[in-house]
Amino acid sequence: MMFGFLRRKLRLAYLRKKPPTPSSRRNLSPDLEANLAAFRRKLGASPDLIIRRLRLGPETGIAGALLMIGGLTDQQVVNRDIIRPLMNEMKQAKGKGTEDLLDYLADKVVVIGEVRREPQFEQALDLLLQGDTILLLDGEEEALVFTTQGWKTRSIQEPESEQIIRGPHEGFTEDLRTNTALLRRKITNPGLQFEETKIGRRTQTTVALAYLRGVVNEKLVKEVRTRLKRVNIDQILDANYLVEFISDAPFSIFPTITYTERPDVAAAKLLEGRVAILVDGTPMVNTVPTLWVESFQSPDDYNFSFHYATLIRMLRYLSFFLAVFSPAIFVALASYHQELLPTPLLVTLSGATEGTPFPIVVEMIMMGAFFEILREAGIRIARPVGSTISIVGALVIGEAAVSAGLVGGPTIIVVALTAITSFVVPRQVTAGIVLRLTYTLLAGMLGAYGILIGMLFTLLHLASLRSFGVPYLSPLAPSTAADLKDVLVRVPIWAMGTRPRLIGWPRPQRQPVGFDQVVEEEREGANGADG
Amino acid sequence: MGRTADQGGRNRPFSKGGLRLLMILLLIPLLGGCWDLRELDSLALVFGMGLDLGPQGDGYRLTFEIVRARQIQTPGPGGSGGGGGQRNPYWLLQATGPTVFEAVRNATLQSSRRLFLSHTQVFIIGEELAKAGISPALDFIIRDHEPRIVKWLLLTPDEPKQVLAVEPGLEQITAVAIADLIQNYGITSKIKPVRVVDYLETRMHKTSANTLPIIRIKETAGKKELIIDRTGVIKGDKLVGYLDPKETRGLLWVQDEVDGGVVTVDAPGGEGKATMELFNADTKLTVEGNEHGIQVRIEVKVRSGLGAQTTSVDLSTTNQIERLEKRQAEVIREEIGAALTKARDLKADIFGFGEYLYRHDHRRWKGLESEWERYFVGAEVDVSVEVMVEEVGLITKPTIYRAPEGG
Repeated sequence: MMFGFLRRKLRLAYLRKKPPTPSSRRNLSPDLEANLAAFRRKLGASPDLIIRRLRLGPETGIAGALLMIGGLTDQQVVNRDIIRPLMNEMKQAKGKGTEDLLDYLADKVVVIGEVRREPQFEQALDLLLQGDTILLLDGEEEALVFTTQGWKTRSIQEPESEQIIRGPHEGFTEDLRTNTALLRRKITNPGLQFEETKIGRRTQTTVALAYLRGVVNEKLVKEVRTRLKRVNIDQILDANYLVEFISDAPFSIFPTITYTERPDVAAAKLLEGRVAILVDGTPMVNTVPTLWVESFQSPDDYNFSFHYATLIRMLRYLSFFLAVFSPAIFVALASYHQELLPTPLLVTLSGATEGTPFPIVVEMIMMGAFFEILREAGIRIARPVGSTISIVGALVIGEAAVSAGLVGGPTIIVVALTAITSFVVPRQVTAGIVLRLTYTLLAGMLGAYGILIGMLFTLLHLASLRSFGVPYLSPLAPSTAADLKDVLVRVPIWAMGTRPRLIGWPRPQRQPVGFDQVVEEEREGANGADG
Repeated sequence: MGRTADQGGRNRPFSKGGLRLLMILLLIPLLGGCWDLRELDSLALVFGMGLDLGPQGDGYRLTFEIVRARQIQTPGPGGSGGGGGQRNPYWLLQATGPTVFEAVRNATLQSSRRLFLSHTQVFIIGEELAKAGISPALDFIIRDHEPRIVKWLLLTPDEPKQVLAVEPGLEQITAVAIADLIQNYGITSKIKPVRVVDYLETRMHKTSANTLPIIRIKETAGKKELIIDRTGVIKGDKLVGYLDPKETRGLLWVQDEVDGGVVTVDAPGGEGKATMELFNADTKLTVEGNEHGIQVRIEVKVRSGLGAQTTSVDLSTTNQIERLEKRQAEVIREEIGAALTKARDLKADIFGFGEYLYRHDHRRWKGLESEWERYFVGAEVDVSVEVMVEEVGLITKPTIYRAPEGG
């Protein structure tokens, strides 16, 4: 019902969307004062708009003005490489030569890497707001735009949401340019392509699309491009604003677009033939297509020996299973299928639940909710107070509730088990909560039969999901035998000769399999990736 | 009405009616909700069940050993505190009824909780009931989905209630203790363990006689203990006699169910005894026959080792070991002979010779079946026992002091 409603709203939104109106293409006027007035009118009395008036050339010279936004430009660069040469050079200049003044300035005076001419007012305004410096000259119908962006950014730090033991410890930052640089450092190949667009009518957020030409499926790039183009949104403050627009299954609890905070992970995905979407201001890079099994992979899997990685991989699947099913199974066993419990366990359970006032399913949901509240409080609260929360929570949950006879001890154990295991697979935490609650309720109503019904519908749903054309459950269903090398087990790196079948098929072979690395004639040539 | 539905159908993936139908279909699985819900703390967990004839000789009187789970909690912080004083960890409840099923239901008249039979470990049948016929009482246990037919079935000459009331030495629940007693049978091989399903299986064969372990109360110094040391012979569903431990093992030898245990023999070449530990026993049974009589061949192969000796003679020599083997074979033959004699006396084919013929020589069996009892009693039985003593333990010379000869 609610979905229908949302879907209709969505349709409306699509209908309402119009192609971006050709903005009032106003050209700059040759009159300096008129231009300045126009900028002031648009920006209001913003104190961060800096207007530096200057006069170029000998004698009175030509009146001009530099416009910049304080804090967005690198002051040192502006002073040293724009203002000083302008004043010094122009003093000696013999006046305007035969060439165009603006070209002259750009070519011979200013010491800035990127300079361009901009005839349009709106465009110039946008560039100004992005940290460029604009030079307006009296009598010129175009402005000179110097790229002088320079603002405070967070330095490259260890990613907090994806800790690893071995391997690189650097993480993406909020600055898009830093992030693209991090990717370039990982993949030194001309095939690595970035395409940038601005999305967000008011925020004008830069969104970059990254892929490895020669490996990527061009149709996929096209599809991502199309979807990004269709997004008509007011603001993008985090990548998720975008993700919810372009996701294949906007209503699904399962994420069909994954994220990473780590350049090495993003690079690995690019090398497999995936497309990365980088959003300025977000230290997370989204990669598509996303498979369900990706959630269970960790960069450390490839940094440790494959035996260990395989064991841990299996533990992760087990943990996810426990996180989702253990409360439901416990409820089903304790309320419906007591004959399935081993006898000693039954006695223990029976003794522990005796005298507690609520049915087990109510206990379970109560304590589950309590845990989620605790978790949420732990995240939201200021860090110094956090330890208070955990102490009170642990005491209340662990001790008081049991000794007061409100809930049985086993319930606490199951909730605790759920709590721990659910964090083993961070990418499925959100889906896990929903599944867990649903299964627990179903188990409370129908026992194991209910769990089976729930599983059936979940599997149906999972099997129907796609992420940018790739079945979400692949390589499990549809199964691709060759790709199972990195699902439940992680085979040695030297055995991972092929890219994922459904994603990297344009160029499936990474390298020959095995140790037999006889230098082969590179079939595609040194820069074969470019095709 | 129809028009609105049409309009709806234009905009949505489902028409209004279709959507409703889908919702109904999706909700159908939930209709079964809760009907069989039984909270754990609303169940009376029955661990042991005693069956006997009713007080007037009709119907049944059942005894249930119900666990007080609260009393069995492992000690821990706050664990035992809430129990409200130590009480007996189990509760014995008796109920009567014309059938076992009704008696089980009647028990709920006295029990605040519904009886839960899935975890019943042992079924103990009183002697009176055994003499009247066991199968009618087992019908419910087999028919109902709760009780398990792979649990132990025992006989008792005492009242089942008295047996279940005996406080076990180590376990907290008597029924659990009894089940453990039976499971340890391989240490002595003097108990014949029988599950409900085993009883049925033998019962289905017309000529075979059943055997059930006998549990009884042994009073020593005013303290009651439980002991399983005999075996009851059930012929045609009724108790007709008993096997003592020696005969019981004779039965186990024939049925190839000796798992371990010890055999004590007179030590060769001196006074005193030697006890041999059985490592492995293997029996091959063959039955052949025609209308003139049947021949049974029992070949037992045993591997054993010297476990203890009370004589000072060195038994580790080849010579002595050979004599030990011979004597041990003799003892085993005696055990088998004792069982055979008892079975002949009772005219009960407890070994399943008839079943062997039924399986291996069906045509002959057809002719013998009607007069099987006569054939069984007159069967020529040839017992051969082959013993191999493999070791004498960690020491070779005896520890017993031997006085210097002639000194």
